[in-house]
Amino acid sequence: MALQLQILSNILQRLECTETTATGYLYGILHNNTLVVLTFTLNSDESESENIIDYTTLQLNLPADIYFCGILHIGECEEVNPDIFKDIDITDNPLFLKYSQNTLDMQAYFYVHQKLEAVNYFNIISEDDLSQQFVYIKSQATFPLIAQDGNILEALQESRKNIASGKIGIHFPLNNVYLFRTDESLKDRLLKDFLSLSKEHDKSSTGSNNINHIIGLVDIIHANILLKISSEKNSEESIKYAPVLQHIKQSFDGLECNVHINALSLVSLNATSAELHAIVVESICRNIRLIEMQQGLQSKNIKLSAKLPEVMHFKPRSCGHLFTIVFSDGSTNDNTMEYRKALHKALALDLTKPSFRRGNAIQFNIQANEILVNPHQALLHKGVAGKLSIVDGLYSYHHYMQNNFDDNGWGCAYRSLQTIISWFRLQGYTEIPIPSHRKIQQCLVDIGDKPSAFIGSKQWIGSTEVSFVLQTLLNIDIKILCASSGEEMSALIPQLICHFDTQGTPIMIGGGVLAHTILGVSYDESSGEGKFLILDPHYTGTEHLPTIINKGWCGWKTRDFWRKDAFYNMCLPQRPIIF
Amino acid sequence: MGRTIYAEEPLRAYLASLAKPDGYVIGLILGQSAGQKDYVVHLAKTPPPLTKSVVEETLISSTSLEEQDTANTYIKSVKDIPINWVADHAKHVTKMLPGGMWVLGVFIVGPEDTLDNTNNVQKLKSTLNAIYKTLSWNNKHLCGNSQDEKIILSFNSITQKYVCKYVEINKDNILKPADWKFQEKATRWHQLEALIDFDRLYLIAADKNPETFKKQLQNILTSVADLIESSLVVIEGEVGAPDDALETIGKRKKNSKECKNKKDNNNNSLQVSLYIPCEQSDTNSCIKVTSCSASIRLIGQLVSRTFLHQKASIADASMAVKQDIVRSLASRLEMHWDSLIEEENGSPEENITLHEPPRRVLIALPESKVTLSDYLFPGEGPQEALLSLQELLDLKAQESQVQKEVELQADPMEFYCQNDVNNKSDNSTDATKCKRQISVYQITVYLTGLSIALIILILAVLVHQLLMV
Repeated sequence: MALQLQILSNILQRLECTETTATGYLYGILHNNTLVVLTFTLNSDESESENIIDYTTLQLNLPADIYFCGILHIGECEEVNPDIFKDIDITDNPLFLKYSQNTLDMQAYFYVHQKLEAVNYFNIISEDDLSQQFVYIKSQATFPLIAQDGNILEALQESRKNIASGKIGIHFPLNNVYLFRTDESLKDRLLKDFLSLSKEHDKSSTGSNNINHIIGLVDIIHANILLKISSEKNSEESIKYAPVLQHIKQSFDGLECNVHINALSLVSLNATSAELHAIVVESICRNIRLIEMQQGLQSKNIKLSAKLPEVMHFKPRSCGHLFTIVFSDGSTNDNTMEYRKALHKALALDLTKPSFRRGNAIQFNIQANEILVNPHQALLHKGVAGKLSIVDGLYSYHHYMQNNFDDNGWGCAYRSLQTIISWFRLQGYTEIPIPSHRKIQQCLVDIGDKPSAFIGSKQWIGSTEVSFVLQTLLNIDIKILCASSGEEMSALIPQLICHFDTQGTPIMIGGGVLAHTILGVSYDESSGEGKFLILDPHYTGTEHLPTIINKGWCGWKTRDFWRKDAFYNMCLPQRPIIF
Repeated sequence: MGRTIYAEEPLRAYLASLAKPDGYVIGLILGQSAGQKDYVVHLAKTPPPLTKSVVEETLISSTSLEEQDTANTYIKSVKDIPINWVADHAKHVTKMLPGGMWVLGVFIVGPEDTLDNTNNVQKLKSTLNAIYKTLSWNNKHLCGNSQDEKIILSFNSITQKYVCKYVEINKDNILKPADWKFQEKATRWHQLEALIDFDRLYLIAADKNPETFKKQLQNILTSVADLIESSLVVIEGEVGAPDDALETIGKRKKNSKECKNKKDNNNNSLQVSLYIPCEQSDTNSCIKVTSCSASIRLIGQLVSRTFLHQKASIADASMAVKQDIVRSLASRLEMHWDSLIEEENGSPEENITLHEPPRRVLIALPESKVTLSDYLFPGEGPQEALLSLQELLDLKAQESQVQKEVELQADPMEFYCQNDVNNKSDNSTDATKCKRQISVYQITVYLTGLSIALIILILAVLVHQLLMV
């Protein structure tokens, strides 16, 4: 049967923003006789940045089992050199994609028997389609590493080889199942049955949290790794002699540390358990390889660095897939700029938004009763018609009574401000912690806006103060928008649409004694009706999404929501153009 | 409900054979305990103190002089029981038992109903206490005390009658009745096998007052024991609920094996794997730098074989396997440090030493598949194992019964030749010398092979020529 081809729609969107001529590499998963192309990288013309990113090792940054699978040409390029296909391991029939900026047309070829054969039909799939077929698995492990005289690299390699030989067990806490390589009875079971995922996986959109962890809109299954310390009978690889002790007397510096593995795999729901085991092993090996590479750079600079490099996962939205980076200990957004710039270019991400700053890293370890992220996702298309213009990215929902702090009746604007700052944090613009009420008051005193008695008081603040604090703490520009009455709010919808489409930041609105956060607007051209997506900081309950949605603490409001007798001031934070 | 102790019929004959008209024989009851039931695998009389034996060397230090004076082939009266000697015997025997089996108690054979006399009872209780203390104090890695209940079996050599009682050592110390049953049918045992791979580096910090080598080995032992304790035991690829019967896995395995290939000749043992969890307990990723004076690498494969009675649960099996591994490592390391004549730390110069603790051999008990262990130092042969078997377990076995190939002896060359990156300068000469030896050897083999081939060729040509003519 001929190989089927599927291409993630994000690739097309990213291609539209590229230069007119370029060459690059394609990465995808081959499963069930289908090649799913998930991402591409572009070759850079500048020779100096080629040192930073090695395009063939870039697959280490991708979840296992995504492999280098083909070549990309944009516009008129020189004819493809078949030699390059030799580096492709996952298939004998590598892919060649030709894309034209002018016609927005894509042609695909498989390289079969040393000839390019045109692919007549291929599927463009969305991220949702992808999540129906594949699931992310995050495997975690911590193990001690012991090395002599700075030989951390060798020790890392040693443990990688050991794991590569398959000597691990995998525990899925989700339904408390174990997977070992020798499990013959389970060998042919499919992942979806093995983890009993099939049905629940589809309808998890309103937060049945025990099944999936929806954080930053990534469904992840957690797995814990166990290291095997025994051998099978008749196995070739193991040592055969009885335990001995090799005692070496010499002075040296001994190094001890914990290696934290945090590896991603993207696995087909129809993968067998045996395949699943192999993919998880591969993902861990990729993780250790990245740590090795970063440690290699690190130890060149300083002889002994204080910490091992740190694994972080990112999900640049235009990519539609997860991306793993290992940052050296003590890296800052400034000293990783060069690398991040190269990465943006390679992945055809523009340089106007941060994608790989530390703040962009996905926070997986969100516990129950922790502050909710993007509650509005649960009702996005409910009860609204027409075009939606919504906050762009992630924010967390700050409201009354959180952090055991009683601000009921006066703290709403403070909370709205916190929500805005959370957006700047989660988008990677800033690393400052969410300021407490006291910190906010301190800031206003420091800039001379308020007398020192203000600190510790229960005085309200309004949109002007919110603007001052944002300008001071984040060094960003603020636009102020006013409505002389609630009725005028509808007239401002075009301006709000423009804000959400270009800036995408949450808006703080103050009117009368109340402050709210506007997360988006809808506008139905046919009826001329517009609605406002409101996040209400006056909520005093627990972080329980169904309550928040059902009781309307986060929800679509008509223009009647605004009081006719109140004057409204809106604070529109402007997104800095940085990466 | 009291305890029931199951012993196989031949053991009755053994007790009867120990009878002395005017004296007593004390010995150990060995077996497995399962709640209110005990399964006895063997009875071993305590050898008389101070005879020329393998035990002597190792026991002499811990027995007091007065007890040695009462050296006799048997004990004249119960009050003469050499308590510490019996306790030491228990310790040595424990080393030979597979995990999950212990010294369950003592038996006494004498020309009376020994337990009718309170003084006798007191003496026997003290013996049990001494055994308990020896196995807990400083010897916890031998895993010799799994429970506080110990048995006393008294066998009247005149009437052939026996009485069995048990005491709870750490509690009231009161004798309670137990039901000892000799039975015709043998206890069925599940056999579990595991091969544990060690390859770990231990750092020895540079210190003004360095720990002795023995202490360093003890630290390694503790660290390994903790690791094994934390591990997950997987039987035939299954984790199973702790309360599930081991039998369910055994049966399933038999069925699947039968369908697949009947010629399978491994005697129905269950293969066990061990996995260590890598939980995110310690989030610290700082690199700790210690200035070290030495390193010890523990490397090699430990073979574990354990036996579980037929009704054992998965939790029982899991514990027994872990005990076996720790007990076996503890036994051989202890024998090793006891055998070291001089303290290695004395020599300050840099060097590589390969320590070869004795390796495990297994000996099957007569009429049972349960195997006991002995440990042989490099150069020792199976006859050494037979000697200790005779001394400590009162067992006469044939050399052929010793399974001496379960664990193999390491090739020391491999370790001395190892081209360690860290001490290239120090050992490069040694290493190259070794390499040269190897290559010379290889060339010889190669040349020999080549010349043989050549001779064959010439012969073939000659024969061919002759035939042609």
